[in-house]
Order: sequence, then structure tokens, then C-alpha cells
Amino acid sequence: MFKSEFPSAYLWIARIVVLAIFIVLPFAYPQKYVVHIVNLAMIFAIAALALQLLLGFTGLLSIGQAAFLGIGAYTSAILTTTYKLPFEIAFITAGLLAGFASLTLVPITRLRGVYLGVATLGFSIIVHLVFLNEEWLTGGSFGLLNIPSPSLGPWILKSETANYLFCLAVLVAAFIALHRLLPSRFGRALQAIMLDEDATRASGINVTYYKSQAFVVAAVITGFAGSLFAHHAHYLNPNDFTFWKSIEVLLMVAVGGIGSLAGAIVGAFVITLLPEYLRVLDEYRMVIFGAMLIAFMGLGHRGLAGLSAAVAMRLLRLRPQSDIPSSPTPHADAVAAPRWSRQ
Amino acid sequence: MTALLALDRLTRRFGGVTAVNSVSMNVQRGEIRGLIGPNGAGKTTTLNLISGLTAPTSGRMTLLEQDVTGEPAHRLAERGIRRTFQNLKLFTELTVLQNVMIGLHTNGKSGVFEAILATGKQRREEKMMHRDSLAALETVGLVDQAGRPASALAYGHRRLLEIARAIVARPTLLLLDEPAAGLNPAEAEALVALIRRINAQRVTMVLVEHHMDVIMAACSRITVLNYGQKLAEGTPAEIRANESVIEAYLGRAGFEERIVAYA
Amino acid sequence: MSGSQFIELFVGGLAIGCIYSLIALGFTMIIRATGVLHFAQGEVVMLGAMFGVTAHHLLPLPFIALLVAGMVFGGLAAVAIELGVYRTLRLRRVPLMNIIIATVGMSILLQNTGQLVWGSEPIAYPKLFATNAYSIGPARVAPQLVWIIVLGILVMVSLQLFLAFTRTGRAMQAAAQSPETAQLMGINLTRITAYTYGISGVLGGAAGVLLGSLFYASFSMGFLPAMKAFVAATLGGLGSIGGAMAGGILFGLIETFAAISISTSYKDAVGMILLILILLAWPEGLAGLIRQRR
Ligand SMILES: Nc1ncnc2c1ncn2[C@@H]1O[C@H](COP(=O)(O)OP(=O)(O)OP(=O)(O)O)[C@@H](O)[C@H]1O
Ligand SMILES: [Mg+2]
Repeated sequence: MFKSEFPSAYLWIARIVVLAIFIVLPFAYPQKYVVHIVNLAMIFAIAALALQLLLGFTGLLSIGQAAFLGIGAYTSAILTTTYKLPFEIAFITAGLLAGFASLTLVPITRLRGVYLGVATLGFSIIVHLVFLNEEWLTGGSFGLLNIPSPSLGPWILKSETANYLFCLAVLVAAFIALHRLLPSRFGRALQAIMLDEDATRASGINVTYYKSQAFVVAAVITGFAGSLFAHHAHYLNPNDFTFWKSIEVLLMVAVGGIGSLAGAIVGAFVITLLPEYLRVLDEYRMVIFGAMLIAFMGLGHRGLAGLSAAVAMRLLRLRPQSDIPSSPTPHADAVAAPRWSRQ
Repeated sequence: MTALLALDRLTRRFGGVTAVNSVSMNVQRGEIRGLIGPNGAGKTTTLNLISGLTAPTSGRMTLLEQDVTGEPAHRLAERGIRRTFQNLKLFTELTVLQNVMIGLHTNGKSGVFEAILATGKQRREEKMMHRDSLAALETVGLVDQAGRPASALAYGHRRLLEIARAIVARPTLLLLDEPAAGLNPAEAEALVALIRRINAQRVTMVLVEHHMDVIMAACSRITVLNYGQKLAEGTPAEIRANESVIEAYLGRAGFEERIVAYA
Repeated sequence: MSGSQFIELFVGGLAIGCIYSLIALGFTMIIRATGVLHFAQGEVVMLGAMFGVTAHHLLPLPFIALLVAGMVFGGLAAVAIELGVYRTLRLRRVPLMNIIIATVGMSILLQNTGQLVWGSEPIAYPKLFATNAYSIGPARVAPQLVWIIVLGILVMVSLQLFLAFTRTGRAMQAAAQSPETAQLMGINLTRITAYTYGISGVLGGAAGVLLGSLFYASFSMGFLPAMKAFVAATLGGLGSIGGAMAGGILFGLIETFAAISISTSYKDAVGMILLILILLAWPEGLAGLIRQRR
């Protein structure tokens, strides 16, 4: 599945071109603001990739990813400010701790569809309240100030560009990791779970164990993104991690296209950059943003990634391989799993 | 010689319905056991109990002299119980080959880290799974379809793919739930040959089927269920001659002619 | 906790719980009929409150008329959203998940439109009730709260009567149970879906006016209560009408008592932890418990 109908040679060329553009961007656009915002979009793209693993490849609806983003961010910020630990250690710990926190979700992985969504949403709300109320640890609503720039050994990535290139490297690493994961024994097990749980069980796969592992892997990656977020913003506030942020990450995946890694990245850019670009519209900008979001959803499940692939196919005059059926997707079911009306 | 699989008064209730009612059955190593009965007799539920997808309400189940009652499906699959599904449960969006490779899950070890780091061990394992899966596809005659999405297969081929996924890990016990449903007579005949070939590789089978010709041609012994209870058990010849079996089927449109044709 | 304090808290929790129940019923009606988790339900609540207060500014009517205005306009707004937007998406045969995300877009759109039209400042709701507190035994209870409970229950009872005794109501029930069969029986699903949204809008509008009268009206007033109401609906078992009502009231009471007895800062967490625990015990909510018993 999820194997694009695109010939892989073209795909690789496209990926390399996109990567080259991103590497050149901070030098071509020296305005600090542009680099800053694109950097932010890359950080959210990492979080969106992680959710794609859950939603797009395992069929697990999580509306709680902001919790892991926040745990990663606060861990990294506290370790580098209060405990003056080096960034590398803080970064790794951020991922590990987020992964560790996701273990508390193991019991709820057996919930289905919207029920799982609501439970993860509840988790997100609880974690946000902890950020807000545990002032001794998180600074409460005052937030945490003076978070240092990332550093790698002797290099302190103080400039906007250096920070940017580091985040880009992490994004590329996350993409490659997930790209390798999907066609592996682990990745196949996850996709099997999404497509048919009974057949998965009967093939000897422990569904609860793999769902939990998917949550942990996603949480670790999201925790890394959180760490990057903290050292990019230099300032943390609990309001960065409300459940609305969880919904935003979900929007990224949905807009980009459920079941596509590239789509998650595209979606993260659209959701992060669009409101910025719409600033010219002033007070109408969020109205237009909402309307565009609805319009994107009319594109079908393959989202912007699917749309751009279709356009590119046209331009390159490629025919879709007739084998790939345009069947309705299981993702809708993944979310609607309990047919309440049929009870 | 003790039985490979022994069911001892296995019962499963759904609310007020007793789908399987105190069924006992011994399946010997290497046999092909037919499991027949009218619609709703409890055949599929019996397979669900054996494969662990449904937990029994009461009763015991023994596999290779080990008590495996109530073990979850994935554990029983690890122990070598594999199955196909009456209403086809393929991973439709994956390719035919990937479907079969999922059946090999238990033969592998590599996890998240090996995959991300693409270690040598992981790549060797993938290669091995690839090879074995193609071999299983060869057995059922679907090699040339390996790269297509499962959803693009014709109906008869989907049934074969289910079988390939179930046999790829060399099960000790294979459960087939109506593998001939929807097949034309030529395909059904090929299926019987396939079942024999698989059985020749020391795979014990329980075969649920409405196609009497398939049952009679393939099975060494037959168990008949009716309203969740065991009605009769014996060789095809004995079952054919059994009064109560004929009676159970009589009056049930569709089965009447078939069983009478063999009586 | 003294007896009178308990009664005061209980009445307060019941009042906010009734409001949650109204919103939760809206969620439940929609999810039952279409499978859509309607994220914009909170904005329908906001619109109801805004229409109510606007109607009051145009001509100072009695509270009941205000409530009716909020309900009518809430209903009309919801029908317009369904026919104008969601139906269009359904006709394009997009997956359910896309429609659910589109309702998030609708929520953003409505909230910001609300801000454009009514401004960012909270609008004070007119004082509509006698300010002398009622006495219940030793306790003194604000009339506002009592009226919210009475009116909320009145609306919910009317809904039940509507569903049980009118042709449309019964058709809606049938369509929710089995859309295919309903269609075979000649029920027009497009119309029924529009009615469903309309009724959810009416319930949301009522919740909006009641919520506004308790605090104030503001463009962002709907989202959080709606999320809580959705949690309450899940608590009760999504898709069950009785579950939504019970879940809402339960959630209001839990929240109120948790704020006093545990901590104000974590009162929302208590509800969420309870939710997760209930789902762990009964993965399909409290309605699953009752179904299990049967
Ligand atoms: N999950 C379930 N919940 C409730 N009842 C069930 C369930 N599964 C099976 N049943 C009931 O158990 C009985 C036996 O069903 P089962 O599917 O095992 O029959 P079968 O012999 O396989 O029939 P068929 O020939 O139609 O496949 C039926 O009455 C069925 O309705
Ligand atoms: Mg059956």
C-alpha cells in the first residue's frame, strides 16, 4: 500500500530536489523571520510524521500528541536551564521520557476509533494541567525563560541558520527512519493491525504489544520534536501544549494526506505557514484558514500529497498503474470503527 | 498415539445463543478432518475457538498434550495453529507478497531498531521472508501476482492468498473455513489437489466446507455439527450412511440434494 | 462539607451538568446518524448565545423568548452548515475522517466569524431572574441555577417526546438504527440528516443561552464546554441518548465537587481521569454497561 504509484526514480529526484531547496533556503532568504517560521514548520513536521505512524499506518486515532511534544520540550528545557546539562543529553532524555510517558497509554490502546481519540484527548488535557499547575517544575503560566540554543559538542548552534540546519537534519533522519520502518517486519505488523485485527492476531502478531510499541515510537519522535521546539523558541509556555495543539497535529496529517509520510510534512507546512501567509488578510485570516481547511478536506483521503502526486503524474504524462484500485480507504473506518448506529 | 488437537467439552455462548455446545473432538496428527453442518451449526465458532480468536465459555483444549485453553490467538499462532477466514480477511491495501510475509511474522525477530538501522541481520531476515513467501505463493500458484495489491485479485485468487498466508510459516495445524466457497467446479478440484499437497507436507487440517464433493474427496474423517452440538463423527462412508446426519440436512434447502447425492 | 454547602454545590453542578447534557445530546444525535464527531458543536452553542443576546438588544423580551430565539437560530445555523458544507463533502464521497476534520475547520471559521461580528470582548448577559436567592432547607440557591435546571430538563423531555411520538422523530430513530433499512422504507436520508443537525443546533442554541446567562457571551465561549460535553457523551456511551443526558449531568457534578474537594486547578483532570477509567472498564462507555447487563 502506501507505495506511491509514482516510479521511484522520479520520487528520489523529487526528494533530493526538495532537500536541496531546504538546504539553500536560509542562505537565499536571509530574513530571520522566514527562517524562523520554516524552522518551526519543520519541527511540527517531525511531530506530524510521528502521528502519521499512528493514524496513517496503524489506524490509531491520537488526539494527544501535544502531551508528548510538551513533555519533550519541558524535559529538554529544564535539563539545560536548571541542571545545566549539555543539549545532547537533554535532547535524548526528552525523547526517552516522552516514550516512557506514553507507556501510561498502554491500557487504553485497546480502545477503538473515537473512544481512543477521546481518551488521548483527555491525556493531553491532564498533561497540560500539570504544565500549568506544577510551578516548581515548569514555571507555571509564567513559563520557562532563557532556554539556550542547541549545541553539538563544541559547536553552539546560536545562529538561526545553524539551528535551522540542525532541525532539518533531524527531520530528514525521522523521515528516513519511518521510511525504513514501514516495509519492515515491525511496519508490516502495524499496517496489518490497521487493515484487519483478527487476521493479524491469527498470523501470530500480538496486537496490543504492537499498538503500544507504535505509541512509544511515535512518542519518542514527538519528544525529540518537543526538545527542538524548546531550544528554537527559547521560551516555553503551557499554552503551547494545550489539546488544541494536539488537534493541530491531527490537522497536519489530515491535510497532507493520511497514510503518506511526505503528506505529513506537507501538512505541517500548510498548517504552520498558512496562517502566517494569510496575515495580509488581517482579521479575516483565521476565517479564511478555516474555510481552506474545509476545502482541503474535499480532496479526499490522500490530501495534498495525493493531489500533488496526481498533478505531477499529469505533468510527466505518466499513467497511473491500473493495478492500484481507487477503492475507498480503510482509514475512515479506522476512525469510525465502532458503528454506534449498529449496536 | 495421542491426538494433535483435543477438544474436551468445549462450549461457547453468545448471550442466549450457545454457538458451540460441549463439543469434544480429537484430531490426529496428519489427518484432514472435515467439519460440516447446516448454516449456523457452529463451525466457524469452533474454528474461532481453536484459533483463539474467541475464548471458550467452558471446556478444555489441548495441543500436543499441552493445555492451551484460553490462550490468545497470537500465542496459538506461534504454536503453529493457522487459519483462513470464511469471509476473507486479507490486508487488502498491501501487496500479495506483503500479505504472505505477515504470515511469517513469527519466524522473524527484528524490531524497530534493526529496521531503522537496516542491520545486516535484519536484511538477511527480510530476504529469507521474501524467499519463503514467494515459495508459498508458488505452492498456491500466485507467484505472478506477487506485486499486485491484494484488492486487485480475482475472488478465487483471494481464497488462495488466504491459504498462502496461512501455510507460509509451516503450521502444525491448518484450519480452513469454507475455502471452496464461490469457486467453480474446476477451481474446487484444483483446491482439493492443493489441500492434498499441503497435507503431504505433514500439515494436519480441519476443513469446514459446504461443498460435499470437496469434503468427501479430501477428508479422512468427518465431524458433523448441528445446533452447536456434535451430531456424528466417522469416515466419509459412515457419515454418508448416517441416518441422523441425513435427517439434519433434510429440509434445509441447498444441502438436501448434495448430501442425498452422496447417500 | 456542610449540608447547605453540599446542596448549593449540588444545584450548581446539576445546572452546569444540564448544559453539558444539552450539548452532549447534540453530539450524540449527529454521531448516531452520520458517524461524524461534530467539532463545531461548540460554535453552534456560541451562536445560540450570541443570537439570544442580540435579540435581547433589539427588543427586550422575556427570558423564555430569548431562549427560543437562541434555539431557533442555533437550529437554522446548524442546518445551513450541514446543507451548505457537510453535505457537499459527502456528495464528493470523501472518507468520514475528512468530514470530521472539516468540522474542525468549521469550528475555526465560525469562531473567528463570531469574533468579527460580535467583537473580542465578552458580552454581559442581561440579568433576567429575581436576584433573591431561593431557600432550600438551610441552603440558599441562586434562581438562575434552578431555572437552568428546569429549562434544560424541559428541553430534554421535549426532545424525548419528539423522538418518540412524531413521524419525523421516529424516522430519525429508524435512520440512526439502520440507514439502509430506513431508506428502503422510503425515508429521505438527506432530509433526516438535515433535521438531525437542526435538532442538535436547537439543543446547542438552548445550551448557549443558558450558558451565557450563567456567565457571559463571547466568541470563544463554546469550544471548551463542548469538548467537555463530548467527553460526557463518551462517558455515557456515544450514540446513546440516555447516556448523553446522564453523562452530561454526571460530568457537571463531578467537575463541581472535584473543584472543591480536590483542587480547582485540577478539576478538569479529575473528569478526564474518570473518563479514561470508565472507558477502560467499559470500552464503549456507561451505555455498554447497561447493554452488558441485558
Ligand atoms: N460474535 C457472535 N455474537 C453473537 N452470536 C454469534 C457470534 N458468532 C456466532 N454467533 C452465532 O452462533 C451461531 C453459530 O454461528 P457460526 O458462524 O459458528 O455458524 P457456521 O456453522 O459457521 O455457519 P455458516 O455455515 O453460515 O458459516 C449462529 O447462531 C450465530 O448467529
Ligand atoms: Mg461459518
